Formats: sequence, C-alpha cells, structure tokens
Amino acid sequence: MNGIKPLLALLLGVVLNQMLLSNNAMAASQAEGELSLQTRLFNQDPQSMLQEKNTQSLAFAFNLSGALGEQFDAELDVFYRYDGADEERTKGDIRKLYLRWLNPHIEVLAGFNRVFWGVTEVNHLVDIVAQTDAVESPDGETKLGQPMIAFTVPFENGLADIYLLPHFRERTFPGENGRLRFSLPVDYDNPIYEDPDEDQHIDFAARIAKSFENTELALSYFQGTGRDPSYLFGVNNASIQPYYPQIKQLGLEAQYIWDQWLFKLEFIHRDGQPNLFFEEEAYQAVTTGFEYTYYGLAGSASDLGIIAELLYDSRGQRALSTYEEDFALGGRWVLNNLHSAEFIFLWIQDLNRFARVFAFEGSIEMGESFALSFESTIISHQPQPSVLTPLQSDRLLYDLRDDDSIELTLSYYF
Amino acid sequence: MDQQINTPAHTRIKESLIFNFKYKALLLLLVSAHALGAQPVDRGRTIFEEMNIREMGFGDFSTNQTMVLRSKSGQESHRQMENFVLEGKGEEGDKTLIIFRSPKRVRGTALLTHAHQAKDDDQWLYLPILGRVKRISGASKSGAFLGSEFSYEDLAPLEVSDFNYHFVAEENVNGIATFKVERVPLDADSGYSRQVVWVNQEHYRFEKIEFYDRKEALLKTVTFNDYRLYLNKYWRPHKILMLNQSDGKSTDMLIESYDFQTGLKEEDFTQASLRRTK
Repeated sequence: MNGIKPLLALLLGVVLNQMLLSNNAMAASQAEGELSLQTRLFNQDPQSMLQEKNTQSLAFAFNLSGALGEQFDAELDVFYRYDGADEERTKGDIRKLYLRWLNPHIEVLAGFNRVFWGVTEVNHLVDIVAQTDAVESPDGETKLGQPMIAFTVPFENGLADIYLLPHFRERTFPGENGRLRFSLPVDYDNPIYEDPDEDQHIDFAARIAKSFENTELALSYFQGTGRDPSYLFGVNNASIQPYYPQIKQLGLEAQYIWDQWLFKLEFIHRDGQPNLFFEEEAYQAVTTGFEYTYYGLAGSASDLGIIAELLYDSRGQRALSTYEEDFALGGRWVLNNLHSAEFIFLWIQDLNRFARVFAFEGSIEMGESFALSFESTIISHQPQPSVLTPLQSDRLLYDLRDDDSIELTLSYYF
Repeated sequence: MDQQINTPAHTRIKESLIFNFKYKALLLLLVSAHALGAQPVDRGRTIFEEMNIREMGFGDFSTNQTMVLRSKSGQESHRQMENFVLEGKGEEGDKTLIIFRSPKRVRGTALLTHAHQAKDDDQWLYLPILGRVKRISGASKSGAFLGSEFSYEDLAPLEVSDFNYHFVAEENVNGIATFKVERVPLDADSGYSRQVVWVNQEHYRFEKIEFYDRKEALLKTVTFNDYRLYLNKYWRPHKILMLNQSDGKSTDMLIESYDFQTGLKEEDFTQASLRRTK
C-alpha cells in the first residue's frame, strides 16, 4: 500500500475537511450507516479440526456523501467486520473514498470506488475492475474498494468509461479457522505476481455502453493484473499460493427486452491466465439466459421473477471456476406486503457431474430501521473426485461439501 | 403529463408539417375541423386533451413524497421517496427519476423512466449496494409499487393516446361540478379493463378515479385532495388516497410541496446520472 498511502491521506483530508468543517461548501450531504449482527450455523462437522462450527460476527458500515459546491462531489464508504472465529474475516475496508469533478461533458473521479459491469445474475464474468471480497460474501457480489482515476464521457443514450488502476488489491480468502474454504489453506500473505511491479502495476480498463430501443450493449477491455488468482501448490502441498498473472480480457454484455422478458448474454475472451493445472491457456466463457417476471401472482399483490442461465467455460475441468458447464434456475418472490418480505431461491446444477448448490434467501423489514435476513446454502458433491485426477474445477465444490450453512443477520440502519 | 394532442388526424398532420409551438393554435383548429369532419371525437377525449394543454410548459418539478401503507386492520408502514420530473420536448414523453429514501434497507435505490407514446417506456433501476444499473422491462405496468396499493401504471406519466374515451355525464361530487368520463386502456399489459374518471370542470384536474380489474370488478378508488396552485397555472394534489375495494388495504400518498422549474436538465436523467445516485 506504500504507493497509495500519500494519495489516500490527501484525499481523505480534502474530503473530510470539505464535508465536515466548511458548512458553506456543502450543497447537500447525508450520513448514514448500518450495524449488523450475524450468526452462521453449520450443520455438519468441519473437515478440519481447526475450523469453526458456528460463528458470530458484528459488522459496521458508514457512508458520508455530498456535493462540494457546484462542480464537485465526494463520498466516503467504510466497512468493518469482527468475526468471532475467523481472523481473516475480521477486517476493514475503504469501499469508497473519492472526489469527483462533474461536468456535462466529462466526469473525472479520483480515489477508491466500486464498479459493477454486467447483466447476468448467477455469475459476473465481465465484471473485473474491483476485486472480489470473497471472505465477506462467497457468492462474489461484495467488492473491495479499488483505487482509480476514472473518466466518464456520457453521449446520446450511452456512456464511455476509462479507468487507470494504480494499485492492485488481493482477493480475500477465509482463514484457517474459517469455513467455506479450500481443504488446503490459502497462503494469502505470500501472493506471487507475474509482473515485477507486483501490486503497483498500473492496470487499464475501458467500457463503452449504449442503449438502443430494446437492447443494451456494452463492450469492455481490461489489461493488467488479473483479479482472479491462479493457484500454485506450496511445498508438500501444505498450502495454496495465489498467483496473479498479467492478463488481457475482452468482454461483451448484451440484453434484449421483449415485453416482460429480459434475454441476457455475457461473454469474455481472456489471455494470460494459467488454468487449474498452471498452464497458460487462452479461454472463452459465456453466461446466457433470461429473466421473466409474473406480476400479481395468482391474484395476489406478490410478484415472482424467474431466472434461468447457462454457464460455460471453454477450459472445462481445467477452469478456475466451478461454473465450467452448469445450469442455474432461480426465483425471487416479492410479497409486496407491509414488511417488504421477499424470498430468493437458486439452484445451480453441474451438467457433467453430480455437483450442485442450492441457495435460499429471505428478508423482512421490522419497522423503519431494522431488517432481518437469512441465507442458507446447501452444497452437494457426489461421489468423491478420483484420486488420480485430484485437480478439476468441480473439486472446488467438493472441498465445500460439508459447509452447508444458515446465516442469520439482524441489521440496524441509521 | 403529456403535452401532445394525438388524434389520428393530428398524427397525419404532424408527419407532413414541421411542428412548432407557433403553429400549435393553428394546428389545433385544423385538427378539430378535420376530426369533426371525419368522425365525431368523443367529448371525453376532448376533456383530456384540454387537461393536457393546461399541463404544458411546466418545465420540471421535484417533490418529496411519503407513502403510508395501511393494512385492513390499520397496521401502518411508511415509504419515502424523492421524485424528479422533466417535461418531454416535442414528441418525447416526460422523464422521471424516483429515488427511494425509506425503508432504509433499500435507500438509494432509484428508478429512471423515459416515457414514450405508443410504445413501452424505457426503465432503468439503480441498485446501490452493487453499484449496478439494470435495464428493466417497461411493460411491467401492473406490478405493485413498493408494496403499496399504487401500481406502476398509476404513477407513470400517461399520454392521451393511451386510452379510448367515452363521456358519461356531468356530475356533482361533494359539491364540485365534474365531468364523468370512462376510459379504456389500449395497452394489453394494463391491469385494468377500464377506469371511471371524475374531472373538475373549472380547473380540469382529477377528483376521483375508479379502477376496474380485468374481471370487470371494482378494484380500487383513488381521490385527489388538497390541491394547491403553482406558478399561477398548475394545480397539484398534496394528498392522494388510494383504497383497495377488494381487500380493504389503503395507501396515502402525501406530498410536502412541489418545487417547479428548479433547472433540471436532460443530463440529470441519463444512465450516467442514475449511477451517481446517493
């Protein structure tokens, strides 16, 4: 973090000074946050005696945002979690800390921000700018704040983004005591980089997106340190070392709307990423499917959204992802009642093996400021992968076979 | 609200003439003459055309709104939002941006709508936790809006050309002289078979609407209350009360005040601006 520290300190100084001290500079500001208590219950014994059985954790998030005069705005978004069992899950992150110049023809943002690219629901192939905070959420939807200088140029029904990314952030992993991890612990303290500049390599990303009458299209390009690690096995296979290669990725997002149907496609071509056997292999991956929503289900006020997606990776069992040839079916049932109750189910089935994941989620609001949510994941993998080919992408799921869990979270919003 | 008059005859004239505000009065005359000559225009339609003319030129406005959701037993829940509206230019429909402020769990979620005549609206949803802008189907009219008794189509900007009209009678509602008009939505995705609308005769504003479902049963009744005059021209309700006749649930939409002509621009209603929502 050496290279980034002075920039960070300067930004923090400017933003906080402006937002907190000089009232007259603030056109509008808002401060809000969330405090949440979480318990994770695992119904099976862990594979390793080191791993927790159940765990409690406490998380705190705070957001401060506002305009600085007519042409600038700024935002601060910080997060901290204390986890009772896993020291790697006890951590903080600056998810956003930026100053942005706003102009009708260009926006320039400097600082930490989170960026999302993509249209599909089950996995996010194209999304690459910000690193996944995997210890925070195994589904990959939580991102770490990414240091950047970003330029946005809006045009008729579209926008172009260019990102310079001066500092790389390593993926987070559960620690030795944590659940939902590989059978071998990840040696996160010793990542290996292909580039001699290591995490100081300046990465580049660009995306151009345009809306047509019924179609959304986006093309993207990334060049630099890959966010997905490849894995090197340590001495005596005692641990796994993450390896971050230099990659090039071309991405395509498309969505077509036909009445209440959304048809979606994400495609990537990536060069430079070593596969599961640590052989460099250019590959393509595709996620495609649809989303359909029934409004007023069976005469009630509730809505049911259905998604179906196919996930494909040209590397097959050499893929670093478990989604090498999978099918996913999911639903989101929104009750539209006073408590905003909603339920989500998701079934991901491997098309070649008896490996699958079931996920259930639900949430309700309790008054203006409290919400209760649960999330349950059931992972099946039968039979045991062959001893002769211990490495295959579905092996990643096999390692999680005893980690079926229920997570309950009580959140207070302020 | 729509600011175009869109009879078939008018559409034909528009195609052959360069449309300009200067010619609007002349056009109107032509349209009326043409339309009357060809086929009688229902008096109900002319009432809504007049409503539209009175709505023209507002430019933009924004509001803070609170919805009070009430169950049959009287249990309450609140939803707060900010609403920004930009009047469409020429042929374009209005652009609206709704930012949800409560329940706090979904705060910062925003819905951008570009309304269109004679085709589905374009809609994008911003999900702040992921920082994701998602294009959604503009055909989703009949869905409940944030669990309230309002559906998306009740809140969407409507065009005169979205309905067929049938004038029923002049009627007194609570001592107010109104026109009673029945209108039938032309969009097959609408949740309603028809609506009965009471329009204030003096100010051409809504007093009450009854919504009939696809089985022709009375589904909901909405009344518009506490009208105030803005810019000496635009009447706006501050209490809109929606009652579901079938299950006894209700939603009150309470609007603090309307800020007109605050200088909103096209670039405040784009995907780039949606992504900046806080």
